Parts: sequence; C-alpha cells; structure tokens
Amino acid sequence: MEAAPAIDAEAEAELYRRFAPRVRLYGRKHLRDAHLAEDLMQQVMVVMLESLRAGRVREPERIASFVLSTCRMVVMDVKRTGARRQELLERYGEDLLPREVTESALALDRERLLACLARLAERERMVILASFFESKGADEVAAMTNLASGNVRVIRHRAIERLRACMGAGDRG
Amino acid sequence: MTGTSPVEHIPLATLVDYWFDGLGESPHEEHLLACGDCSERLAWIAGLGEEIRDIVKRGEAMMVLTGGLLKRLAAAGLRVREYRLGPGASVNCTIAPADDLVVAHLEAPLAGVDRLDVVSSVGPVLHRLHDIPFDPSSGEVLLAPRTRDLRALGHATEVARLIAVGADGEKVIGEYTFNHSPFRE
Repeated sequence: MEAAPAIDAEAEAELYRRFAPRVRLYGRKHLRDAHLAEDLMQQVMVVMLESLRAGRVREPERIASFVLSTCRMVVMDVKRTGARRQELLERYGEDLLPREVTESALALDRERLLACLARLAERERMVILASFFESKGADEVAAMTNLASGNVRVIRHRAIERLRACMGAGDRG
Repeated sequence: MTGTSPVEHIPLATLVDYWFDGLGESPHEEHLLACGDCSERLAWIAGLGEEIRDIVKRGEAMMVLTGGLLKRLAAAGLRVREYRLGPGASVNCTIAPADDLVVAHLEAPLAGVDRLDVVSSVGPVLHRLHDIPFDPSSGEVLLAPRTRDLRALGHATEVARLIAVGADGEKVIGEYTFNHSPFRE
C-alpha cells in the first residue's frame, strides 16, 4: 500500500470543516435523529483523520469515497448504539440527553418562510407539511393525503422549487 | 476545492426524492460528500424540514388537512381541539393555552364536486382559499387556522362558506358560523 502524504494541522482542519457537516447530513438522512447523526459525524471524523495520519487512505484524492465507506460502516454501528440509547431513554427519561443538538447551520427566516408557505397552492402546502412533519416518503404522504405517489413527488418538487425561489435561495438544476 | 470539477450537479428534484424516499444507499452519496454546492442545497432541504416541523407543531401555518394527516398529527402528540359543523350550523368556539391546533370539520355534500374553494370572513375582511384538497368520500373538509390568529381574535364571528366550482359556475354548498371567544378556565 502506498503511504499517504503527511497531512498537516491546517489540512486536517479544512477536511473537518468540509466533511463534518456533510457527514452529519448523511446521518440525518439515514438515522433520522440529530443526536445519532452527531454520533456518526464524530466517529467518522475520528476514523478519517486517524486513517489519513497513519497513511491508511490509499487514494487521498478520493477522500469522499473513503468517507462514504466509513459512513456506511459506522451507520450500522450507530443504529445498534441508538437502539440501546433509546432503551435507556425509555427507562431513565429525557434528562439523560445532552443539550439539544443545533443541526442546521442554514437558519431560515421564519417569517419569510411563513409568507412563502402562504403563497403556495393549498395542495402544495398540504404535501409539504405532510412530507416534512415526519419526513415521510411519497407513498406514505400519498396515503395520508388521498393523492397518488407520483402526484406527491411532482407536487413536492414544484413546491420546494417555489419555496427556494421565494426564500431567495437561488438554484441550480 | 469547493466541489466537483465540471460534473453535473444533482437536480433539485433528485435531491428532494433522495431526502424523503428510502433509507438505502444511493448512487448520489459520494457526490454529496464531495460537492459543496449539492450538499448545501441538501442542507437547505434539511433545514426547511426542521422549520416546517416546528411550524406545524406550533400551528403557525393555516392548514387544510385530510383525516389521515390529522390522525398523524394527533398520534405525534399534538393537542387538537375539534369542532364539527353541518351546513348552516354555528358553534361557540375558543382556543385554550394548551391547544396546539384547532380543527374545524365542515360537513358537506361533496359527491360530484371537482373543485372546492373556501371563503371565510371575519367582519368585512374576506379571505379565499382556492382549489383546496379534499376527499369527496369523507363528506367533510378539515381546516386548521393559524393558532396565533385564533389567540389574537378576541370575541369575533367568522363565517366560512364552501363553494363548489365547476364548468357551470359556483355554488355554495355549505355555510358555517364560528362564534369565537377567548378561553376561560
């Protein structure tokens, strides 16, 4: 195995800044829990940095691929830990939880969002609220809203595009 | 490096589907870890979700609901105050400090209705919701006003009309009167 080049503190900090939020987002998607996502991020960052220092990353230029593989392995582990955490929470209560994890670095203007939501068509607003309230997929939202799954997807795409435009988020793609 | 070289970015619609549908692996995930632009757009979607969950829990948005959605909200622990009215009926209503949502069940003959609007008035102020979602087989329309509006309402009478809109014009299929007063212990 070819040794990775030495990595200095500044490069490590840059890698952490770049990947920590993205790994956390990956965790939110796969674990649907801010605390578990935070656990995932911390574990993956440790593995990434230790592996780079030890020269265990075969292709440092493809670090994203390495991080993804690590995420997938750690997710399985975190899910097992999460199940134990949930057991403890049910037994000992929410007092054991650390302070609420502040997840989103992209704070949205609430009043502007409310105004933008009010401008959506009624069907669009219902699909958006139903989708996001419990992060439900199209099939489940369709069952809740008496719409077809395909319709839910189309309505959801359109509504989110409109919200981004209304919120001034800009877009590509 | 802020993102990929001239690789095409993931379309927004694909990001939306990725976020909501399925917990399995996706072919986009390596790109999402590598690309600042795409991960930022996904983070925006995630942030939107957090805001909307909070908006729903606090009743900060006017909502037209279905029975299925109302059941999910109640199952999630929201405290829902409900009023049921038939056409022509009136009800004395309020909102308690502990209520998260107030839902009006407006019963109406919905069979054969293609499109439904709701016109509500409080005094001289009229507000119209166009083409609301509804289940014709349920025989009712579920409306959840913004709780902050209800809390600020004081003593007021609101009249809501369901209007069936079709090729041959508009027809009022139900009128409902809400006599609102502040909550008293």
